[in-house]
Amino acid sequence: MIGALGKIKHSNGIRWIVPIALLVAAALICAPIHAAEPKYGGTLRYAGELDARGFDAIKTPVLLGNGALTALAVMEKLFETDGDGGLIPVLGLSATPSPDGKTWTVKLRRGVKFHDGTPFNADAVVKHWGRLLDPENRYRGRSLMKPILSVEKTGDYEVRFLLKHVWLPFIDTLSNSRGLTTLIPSPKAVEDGVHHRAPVGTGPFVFKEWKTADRIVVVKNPDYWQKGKPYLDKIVLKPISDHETRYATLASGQVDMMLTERPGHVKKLSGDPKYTTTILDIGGVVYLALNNSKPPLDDPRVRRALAHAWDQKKYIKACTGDVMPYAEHWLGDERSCGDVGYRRPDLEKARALIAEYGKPVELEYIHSATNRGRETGLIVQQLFKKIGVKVNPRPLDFPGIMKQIFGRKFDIASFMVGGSNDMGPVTMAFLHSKSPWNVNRYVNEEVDELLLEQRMSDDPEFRRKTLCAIAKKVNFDAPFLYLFGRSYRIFYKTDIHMKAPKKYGRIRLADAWMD
Amino acid sequence: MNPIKFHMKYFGKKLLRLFAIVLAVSALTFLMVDLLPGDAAYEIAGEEASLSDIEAIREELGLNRNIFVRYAAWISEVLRGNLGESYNNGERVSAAIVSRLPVTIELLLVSQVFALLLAIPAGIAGAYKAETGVDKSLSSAAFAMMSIPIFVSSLVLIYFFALKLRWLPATGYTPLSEGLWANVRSFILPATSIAMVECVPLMRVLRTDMIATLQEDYILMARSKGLPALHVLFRHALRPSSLTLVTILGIQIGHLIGGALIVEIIFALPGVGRLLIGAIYGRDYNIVQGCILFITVGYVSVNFVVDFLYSVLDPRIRMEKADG
Repeated sequence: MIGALGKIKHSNGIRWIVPIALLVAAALICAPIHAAEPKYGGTLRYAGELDARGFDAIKTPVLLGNGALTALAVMEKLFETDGDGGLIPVLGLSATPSPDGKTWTVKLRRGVKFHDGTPFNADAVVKHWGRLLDPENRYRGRSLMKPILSVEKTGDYEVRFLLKHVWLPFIDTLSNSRGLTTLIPSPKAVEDGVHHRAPVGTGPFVFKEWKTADRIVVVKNPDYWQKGKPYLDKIVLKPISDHETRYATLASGQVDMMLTERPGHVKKLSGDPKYTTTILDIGGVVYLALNNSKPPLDDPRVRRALAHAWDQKKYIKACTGDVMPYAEHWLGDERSCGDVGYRRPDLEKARALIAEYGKPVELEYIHSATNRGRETGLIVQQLFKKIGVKVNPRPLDFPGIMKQIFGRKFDIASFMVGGSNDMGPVTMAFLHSKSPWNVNRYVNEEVDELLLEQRMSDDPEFRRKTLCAIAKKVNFDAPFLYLFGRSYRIFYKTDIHMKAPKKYGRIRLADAWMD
Repeated sequence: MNPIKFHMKYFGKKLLRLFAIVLAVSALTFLMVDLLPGDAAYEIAGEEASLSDIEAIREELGLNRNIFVRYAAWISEVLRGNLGESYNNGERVSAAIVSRLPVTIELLLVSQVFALLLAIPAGIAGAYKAETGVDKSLSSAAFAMMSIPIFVSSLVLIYFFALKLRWLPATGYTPLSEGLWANVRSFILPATSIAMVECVPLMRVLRTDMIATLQEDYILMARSKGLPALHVLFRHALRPSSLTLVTILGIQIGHLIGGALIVEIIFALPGVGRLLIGAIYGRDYNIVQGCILFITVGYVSVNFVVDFLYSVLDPRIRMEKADG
């Protein structure tokens, strides 16, 4: 049963969530793509690009590749999100804010057990969140949940979150799919030190085996609290990093489902009636980080010139075959902000800005040592050559790129900002001048002020407008250039049925079934 | 000198030399990996980390210590039988290597068997029919096979046998526990890809050595006795012509112990090579060092066995050693 859920609606105080609206949202979200009656049994074989990196939130804050699908099959959140700011109950029944908005009380579901027999209760939630908030543990996702002060037990099945101030993104923090923060692990498994390699949760599937770089196997949880679920007996997740190999594995029938965003494969598989496609909009953007802290990119004229020389649409077509989405800001939902002052290609303007700068511009571009990275390097080099800017592409692997970025020893580097239903915390982290996550070293006092205003506001509409205003100011300053928005495509055999993924969510293999 | 004493002294010296090689290789690898830009802390921290997070991870993992101190700490743990655990996913290094060994060893064995099955008949035929059309055709075919990059031949094999004909799986590894045929099927394409390249040097050296052997007096004697050609070739000529073949085979097996990197990646085989390459990209030092140690020990051990085999194959070598 869905309980009364708390949600801050708009300005001048805090309003309560309308349960009916949530019920409708939940019903819509749960509506399957295929309306056929689900069948039980079968093994689903999935091929993704990346293997898991472990399941302990302290050690692995970001959910990647097959690790994400495994975690979401084995563990559960307190709430799911409906993609529009509403909460759908899972292990939590309701989330209710105090009148001042600085405390949230979460009621928990009874009668649920972790796969190792440990009961799910307030102790489990407090233990998990206590670990994340303990500064000693140096949890790396804390930048996105700084306003949370503590979590305390107020009953066997009730906990209370204490916040520094009113903070609307709290409900997103409880329900997003970005990391392991939201997924509640068995306290016993964490204490015994086994959870990182063998996760234990309350989810519809029980972890069985993880053979690194080969496979992760999860099997049906016969005692799952949602009676009648899951439908599949087993899921095998294989990491296959090479795109051609992954495609061959699907085409030869060795797996039933694969993830890709390679233009050639997308074209072939989209036109093949044997497969169904689901587009996974994961939000955020991939961008060219410009080092705003050292010459010549500390001069806004040079950055603006590069922004006008950059042709995102051409790049997306040439490098991704129009598979990746176009982006004029990082906030998602392109239409909701209207015109954000995106700098469109204009070579004359770009040349004039470079002439105004008056000095030769030579830059090093650090990109990933992949095909796409190399292609991007060449395209950047060619586009900027048109305005007399010399670019030297330099391929590096991930740790190498990160070292250059954190050492501020870069001019241009590929980077990304993740997506979420509430982009406030992410925006704060990557744009505030004092933030250690501001890799561009972008400084704009007005933007800093707006960032703080949106953070402290309890008015969703004000926050949305403020975030859009920030996007406009940022586009004016051009501290980075947009490569593309982030999305993936999942191709699967037509005899597999799945629910539509939620906005900025992940596919849920837990709800899949096979003919 | 007593032959047993001689052999113990000879192999004792050899073992000491091999131990020194293993130490030197591990130290060199440690240094080379350390010179790569970025370290494990950047990989572990991910894109949402800050510089202070990275520093904290580095401190936790001991990466901020001097390289000599780190190497000394690592080698002392190794001598106690502890290879450590993966920085990136917490898996024990020894367990990671052991779990990949069946794949690597099976790939190694099957590919070398395939290579020998191709190389021995072709080498013998080339030598027997030296400078004829048969020899020239075999040589041309061999060079053609060698000049095709292994990733191209792998993809072509996948295209025909997995995607078009659907006879064999395109990728992946099926353990023996899931059936012998299923297991063998998963190795046919990758092993063939390797064998197509590796059979060529084997064939060429066998052909050359056998041409020389076929000039020997005892072969002339065997022929003059009217023994059938196949009997002469396989019973009398093959063994003394195999010394260089065994050396090359040893080297090939030695480098395959480290996994056939490209083949393991293309065919998604979870072998030691794939483990190593992933660890290098992720700066997972413990895994890199553990793999290199394993590969070095494997390589020198194979060469040790090859040295021993020389004396089995050719008694003259045994006598030369005994003569000092």
